[in-house]
Amino acid sequence: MKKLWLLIFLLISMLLISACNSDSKSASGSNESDSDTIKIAGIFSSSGGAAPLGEPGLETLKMIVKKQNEEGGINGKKIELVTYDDKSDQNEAVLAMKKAITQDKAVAIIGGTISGNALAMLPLSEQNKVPFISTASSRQIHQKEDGTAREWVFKMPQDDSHAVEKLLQYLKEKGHSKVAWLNVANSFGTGAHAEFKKSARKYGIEAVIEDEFEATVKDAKPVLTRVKKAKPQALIVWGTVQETSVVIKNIRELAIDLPVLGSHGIGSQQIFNLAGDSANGVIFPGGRLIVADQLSDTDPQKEILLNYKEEYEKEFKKPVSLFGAHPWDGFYILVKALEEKGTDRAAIRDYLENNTSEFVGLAGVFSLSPKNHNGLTPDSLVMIKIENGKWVLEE
Amino acid sequence: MEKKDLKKIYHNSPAGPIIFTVLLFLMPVFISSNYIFTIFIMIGFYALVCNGMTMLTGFAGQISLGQATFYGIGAYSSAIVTGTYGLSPWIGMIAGMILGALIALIVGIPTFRLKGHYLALATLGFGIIVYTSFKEMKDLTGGSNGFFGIPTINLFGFEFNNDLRYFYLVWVFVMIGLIFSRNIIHSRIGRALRSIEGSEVASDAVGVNIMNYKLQAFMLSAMFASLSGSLLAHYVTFINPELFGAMTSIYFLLMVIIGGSSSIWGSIVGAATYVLLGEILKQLVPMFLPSAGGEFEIMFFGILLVVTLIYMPNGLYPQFEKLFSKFKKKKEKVQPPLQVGGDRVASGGENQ
Amino acid sequence: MEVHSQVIQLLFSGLTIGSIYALIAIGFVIIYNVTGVLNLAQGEFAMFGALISISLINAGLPLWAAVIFSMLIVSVIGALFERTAIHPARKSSVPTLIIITIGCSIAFRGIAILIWGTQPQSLQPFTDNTPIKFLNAVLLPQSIWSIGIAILILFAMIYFFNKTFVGKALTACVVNPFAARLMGINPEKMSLLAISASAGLGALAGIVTSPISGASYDMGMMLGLKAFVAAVVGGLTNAPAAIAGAFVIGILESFTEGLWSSGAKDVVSFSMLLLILFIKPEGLFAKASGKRV
Repeated sequence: MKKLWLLIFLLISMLLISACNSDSKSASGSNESDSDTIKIAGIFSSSGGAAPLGEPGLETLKMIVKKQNEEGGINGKKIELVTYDDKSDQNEAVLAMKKAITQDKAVAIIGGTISGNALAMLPLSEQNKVPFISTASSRQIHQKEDGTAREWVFKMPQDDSHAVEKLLQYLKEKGHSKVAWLNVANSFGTGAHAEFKKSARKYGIEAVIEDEFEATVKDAKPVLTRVKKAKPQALIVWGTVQETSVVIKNIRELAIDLPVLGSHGIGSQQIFNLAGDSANGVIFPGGRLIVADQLSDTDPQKEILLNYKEEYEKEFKKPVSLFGAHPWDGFYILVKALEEKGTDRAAIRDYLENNTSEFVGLAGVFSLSPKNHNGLTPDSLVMIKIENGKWVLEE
Repeated sequence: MEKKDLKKIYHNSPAGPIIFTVLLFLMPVFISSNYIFTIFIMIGFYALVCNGMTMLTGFAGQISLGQATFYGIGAYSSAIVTGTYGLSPWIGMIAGMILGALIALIVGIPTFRLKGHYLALATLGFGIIVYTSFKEMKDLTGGSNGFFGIPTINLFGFEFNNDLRYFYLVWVFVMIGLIFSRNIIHSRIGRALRSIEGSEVASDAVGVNIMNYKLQAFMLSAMFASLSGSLLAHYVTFINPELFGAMTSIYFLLMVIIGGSSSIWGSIVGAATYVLLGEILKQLVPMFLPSAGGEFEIMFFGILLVVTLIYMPNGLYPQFEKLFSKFKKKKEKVQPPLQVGGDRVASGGENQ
Repeated sequence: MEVHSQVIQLLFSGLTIGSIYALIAIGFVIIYNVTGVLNLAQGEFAMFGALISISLINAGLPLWAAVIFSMLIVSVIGALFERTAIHPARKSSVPTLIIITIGCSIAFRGIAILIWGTQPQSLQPFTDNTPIKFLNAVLLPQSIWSIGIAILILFAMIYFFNKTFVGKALTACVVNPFAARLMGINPEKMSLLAISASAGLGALAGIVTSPISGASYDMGMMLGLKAFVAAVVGGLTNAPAAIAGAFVIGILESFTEGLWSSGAKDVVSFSMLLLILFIKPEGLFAKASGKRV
């Protein structure tokens, strides 16, 4: 009996502490939010399977919010950033979103690291009429089935279709018309696969074999034996870092001597540790960020890219990643709207949609419109080659 | 397994449940936070699933490590019936329950021929097969991209489109489920199940058709899970296969055991503990360890779970019950006879 | 690629994967037989083994020392796990015990995140990893390591349980704990021994795997589940049978993936589990009756 009392006591005290905690948070929030703070929520997968993508995003957002506040905030108001970790889990993402909207009463929400989570979160933003700037890549996030834009959702990363089309352009230039397509068996992979099927013919490219591999793949040699038999001219491995590394290693081990192309999901330093020498020669469509120093000086993005890179690397003592760039774009696009329109959600939404054109961001040059809530083109990506632990701009 | 005090089971005062229900349904009067409603809606989903599983585990003595399968079958049935074919959500719900029960029947028949905890193994395997099918049957389920555009539930023109309304909808279902299982437990089937849980040989000897009753319990649990899945689908309006993987099944069993499988009320206790503990830890851990990133609070979750089960192998609910009856006795100013002794007997029973 | 060389390639892959499953499955079987617990935290031992050895190597230890130390550390973790979680609850019901092991596996994962973070890490292959050509198929030295270790452990198991005193004492505890106690064997000590030894073996599995597929805090779950399937398919009551089962599952998966589709891989191996449960629940390679282990 004593044990139970102890347990109940513990539970109640925990509840109280957490209640106090959230109270103090919301209290300070509500006192100030009317007068001198602007509340923004950031929801990222800083743990779980998508952590390598979510962490740089969260860090970047924290860093630039701090910087903006040090420079005087927005029209004299400080920005208050509330952050949540969705643990790469869809339910957690929905809960975090709900909390951000109803408890924190955030003016806008930035985040949703992976497409599955962003897709689960966006109905809430539509229902509650809160601008949601997604940092996940699926096209479904900003476009409805019928191709029109979702009212309250904006999306910063390139569409899968942009990356796939860039890749197809490259293949066409190189004259590889028969390719093997392998994608990871999750929404990142299957989404791109659908885009590939849709546009491959347009570029005169045919897949001689199409298959999937698990995100937890240990040995992809079995499926690669089939790929080898199909005799493609190039091999496309569409996955994120961990699983792509395994597949690339297996390709080298089987001595399949073909050009290997990856997805924009492998543009992280991790690939060097995980795939080692096997990664050499892999080419993928990626953002300009990691090859910023190799860009020509006329490139409009070069300056901000180099600045961001320097700041991030100084602050966190680790190399910059493409996934950190999307919250950066989202935040600065939002800042413009906040400067012009204050904290009225509908006004912010309208401003974002109508007044963001030729915005030079890290991922590319954005031109949003009521029809297009992404505003990027395949040209926002460049082809990048991995060479001995370095990114090299492939002309 | 644990000994059960039969008197306690059949002499169940309705006061507790009624107070609980009234408090629960009055809650929105005092609280208006959608976040709190969401949490309670989640608890409701899980409680429904656990309710069915409690009948299976606590009363028929079988464990399922694949309950998320039926949860998923319900969700996808609803999604397909309403999203793809545009029929009424209620048809989807019923279709899911029938499908779930049928599948439980098909899996159950060969499994219950086996002795021991083979249902656990079979359901684990089966769960992963169905999970993979959700991912692979792209035309039907949307594959890993998920199923988009599930409509909200609508009853005679009344739309369950906000958290408050959904809160009531879910908890009405939970309560109906509880009353339903209470009636079953107090019926012939319930007594038969209990006898199976006590001793299969003995119940066989007195003419209980073990196989049939186990199957019925399993099918019922599948229907509960499927119903809950349907409700989930209409609530979140977007589902993908990741929601119905092996881990979800494991968490369901975890809720049942931690709540206590000897009473159907354990299902609510278990679901609530699971959800609330997760939320509390998410709040607390960053306060004490602000620098560390990641979901390491699951560490505390795991440890608390283990500690609870070591000290209370029958789960939390029997402890609540004890507390409640003690409280009642004090109020009636009756000196509890043999308080210490009674406690010892109970804990002796727990350890069997 | 010609058909016969493809088949050989698939066989190599299957054996590699199978050997990883085997190393975890053995631990699983030993614990199940000696203590009666279905230990769902077995995959987490592999995760600890892999991550600890990577840290030790990064700290400058040579590979062999890192392997030995990490196996020892994980054995100690296993012993702690037995003392603090399994032993106090040993008289609980089976579902409660299963949930306790699940609780531990969750806690282990949390600890791993706290120590190593969520980023995947990798380990250099044990020896030079130039692929060996064999009839147009390739075999990696790391795969040979992995298969070799599994086979070595298989023989060690057979020797241990049949020829050594401790092994026989363990077997005795399984067959009849009461009689064993009368003979002066302490079943509680045996339970401690069994779990820490299984933890050490699990660690070895993790170390062997990490040059092949990397190591991260969440690698244990799927490894543990597959090893579990392997053990049931081969025979839960018998370590050599479980190892054989692991190879069967590994080869089955690799052929499904190589000749049909990778999506079907899990379906096939878990269907195999169901099939075995329904047709031959004692496992493919275990005798239907007789003593266990």
